[in-house]
Amino acid sequence: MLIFVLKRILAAVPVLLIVTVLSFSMIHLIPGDAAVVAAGDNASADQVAATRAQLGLDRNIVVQYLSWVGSLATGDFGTSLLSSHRNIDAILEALPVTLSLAFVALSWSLVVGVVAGVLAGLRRGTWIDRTLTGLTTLGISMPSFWLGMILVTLFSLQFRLFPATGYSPLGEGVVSWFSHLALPAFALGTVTAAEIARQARAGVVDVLERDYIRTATAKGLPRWKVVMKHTTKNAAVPVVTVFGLQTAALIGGAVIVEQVFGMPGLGSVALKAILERDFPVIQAFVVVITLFVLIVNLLVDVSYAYFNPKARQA
Amino acid sequence: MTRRSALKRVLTLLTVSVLAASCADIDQRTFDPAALDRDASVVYAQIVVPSSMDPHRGVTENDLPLLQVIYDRLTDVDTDGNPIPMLAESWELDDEAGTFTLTMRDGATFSDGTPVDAAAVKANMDRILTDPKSTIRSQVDRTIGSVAVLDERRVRFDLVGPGGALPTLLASRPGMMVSPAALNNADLDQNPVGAGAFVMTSSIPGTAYHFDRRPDYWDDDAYRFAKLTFLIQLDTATRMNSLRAGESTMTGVVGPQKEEARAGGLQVFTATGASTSMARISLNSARSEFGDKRVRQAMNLAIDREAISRVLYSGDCIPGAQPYPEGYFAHSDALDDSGWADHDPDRARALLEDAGLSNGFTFTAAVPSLSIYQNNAQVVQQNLADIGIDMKIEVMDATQSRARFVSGEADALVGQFGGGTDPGLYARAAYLPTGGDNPGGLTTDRMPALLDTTARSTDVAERARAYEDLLAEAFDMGPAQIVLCHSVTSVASQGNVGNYEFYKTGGTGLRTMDVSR
Repeated sequence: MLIFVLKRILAAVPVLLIVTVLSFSMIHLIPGDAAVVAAGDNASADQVAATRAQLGLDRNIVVQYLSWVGSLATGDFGTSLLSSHRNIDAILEALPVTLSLAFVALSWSLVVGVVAGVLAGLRRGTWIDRTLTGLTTLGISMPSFWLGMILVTLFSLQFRLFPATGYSPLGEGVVSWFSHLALPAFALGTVTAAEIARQARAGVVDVLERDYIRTATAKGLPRWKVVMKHTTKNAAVPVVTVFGLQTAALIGGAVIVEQVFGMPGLGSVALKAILERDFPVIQAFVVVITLFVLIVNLLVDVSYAYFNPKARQA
Repeated sequence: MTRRSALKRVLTLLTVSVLAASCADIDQRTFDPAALDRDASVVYAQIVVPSSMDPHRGVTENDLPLLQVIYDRLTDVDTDGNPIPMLAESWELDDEAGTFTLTMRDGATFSDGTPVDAAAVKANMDRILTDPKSTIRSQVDRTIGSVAVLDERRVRFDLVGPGGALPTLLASRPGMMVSPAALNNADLDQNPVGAGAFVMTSSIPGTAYHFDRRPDYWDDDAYRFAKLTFLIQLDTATRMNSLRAGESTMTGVVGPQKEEARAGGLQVFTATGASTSMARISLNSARSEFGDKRVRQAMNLAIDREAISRVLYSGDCIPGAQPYPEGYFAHSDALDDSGWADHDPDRARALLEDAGLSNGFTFTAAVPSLSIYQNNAQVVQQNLADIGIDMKIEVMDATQSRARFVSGEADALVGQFGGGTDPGLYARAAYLPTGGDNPGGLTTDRMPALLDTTARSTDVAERARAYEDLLAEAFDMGPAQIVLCHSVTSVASQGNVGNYEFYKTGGTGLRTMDVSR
């Protein structure tokens, strides 16, 4: 298992390098000029040119890249073009917000998605299956920002049950923390829950038709044991796959949902940096998100190995 | 008259009086001092992201609402834009000797306890003039050559150019005083130390900035509340939701949002006149056909400013062709700008014909990817199409559009001028060949001298006359900036807020605002 994990980690290194090249190149290829922002609102062309030289943006692009990657290798994620704020500090300050949001969203979507999917799979063709399938279709179709706005209108402005905006750190109380996360997490996790439910249903339906299930049932095993021991574990692989994919997608979705709910998460950091063309922050953000996704993928691979020992040989 | 009918009349009169009084006060309510909540917390939700808490290195006017509560300025401006004392209680310009002397207020201190004295002013000005990262040096280096401390409270600027604009110029960034003890702090942009009414207690950059009022602030009558938070909420719906849910105290609103706010039970304050902030289109006079004054004038006459104001801004943008709004001292009442401000497509076509362009021409405008700019561009595109000019719209992000225009790569730029406390900043950028808004270098031989004349005296009436001459010259030349309209500011707030004042030169009205219990 250790060798399996080490192989996966080594395989992630080139991916990370490719991402650094792509993020660096894209920032420099897409239109926009950080020097114009840094020079100020009323700067003339000469002042912009002077600022560009001052920031080192007039250096060869390869030199700039190597300098950046060299710093990254030593754990230095750089500093914002416009302030003395270290990029890693900006990201670490915002990370708890986004992680809290992602954690609550993933938790409820996993529980609800698996329960709904297994139930629909076990009751295939019944009204329960049809209702749940309809709800998952609805869930996948609803954009998270739109759902978020509906939830705010209903539960914050009409019924006054949850805050409309903002975030309360866990240290200020679990109730306050959760009440600020409930609506955005619901909005963010709906698509994930629906996707998980669909995959879980498909997995259960597929596994229930397998010979070993028929054999287990024929042996006289109780229904719950067949479901819990033989069905769910074998149906879990596609669910874990979609869970991993959705975790990565969730971070992207969080950027939007955080804006709808005025939350000071990574989305705010990224959006501010993009609006200001503060590319050291954008690059740091991309690298951190890439690391996060690689770790999630690693965990998914490890879970494959748990659910399917044959995967360890791959 | 019976007793009953008399009583009825008295009651009716009383009711009408009470209603009339409450209606009249709804836009500018002042509370009884006994009802004021001086311990109140105010949460101001704003759309713009500040770039830096260092007033000398920030890059955008978006910083100003926050900077103004942290950093007092040497001077201030009143609601009409006229200079008034702040940290400096008086000033004197000696044009012949080329000096500008400030006398500092007694007793003002920075939040770290350092006195705001002449030495502090010198330290700040020296930094603005010499710091390679200063973004405001160009605002003062044509005026101030050096600074000398005369005594503890008097400081003299030795001038290299006319100094009459200094009282208004020093009401903004160049006049913001940083504690000399903090001037060299590497993290000044995150941990500001000023002489303003508030000290920043914590922040999440780009998201939330929290302030406490200083008990030792020199002006006890200013900022009559204890805590202040600036929440940055980029999404309009989020800001309105936050306000309606009672999570913020106030936010800026435009057009239809005012009705939405009123429908949500909030009160709306609206300025009585336009501010110096304006929607405009900048032309590069070195590109396309824009070198010809007749073409620039034809484009001005083709634009239906009234329709833009009515349709796109719900009337909250006062149409006009001059760069300064009516009621502001730099606006010229003497100038007949009807040849530019009127909507007269027939005359516009005639001008194009005179210019040999009866078949029109094509140009491309860089348009920032914000809905209001795109809307402005689309209306102007239609107006210009009516006289045969084909305006191509190239939507790009705000930074890129500005970069392309400044570097001379774009024919035109649709955008906004944020205003400022001194009108010379705009004039310099728009009418001098080195100006950031004038990549085509359009100017006249007399323009630099006329611009100098606007700063020969600190007397506002004299400056106003000089601006009349400057604007007459600018319109005789045919400006390369097409002004569409000047913004009228509105703020939506909770019902316990009153006495909110609007400034022609921008900024918030927090300084005079009251919060009731």
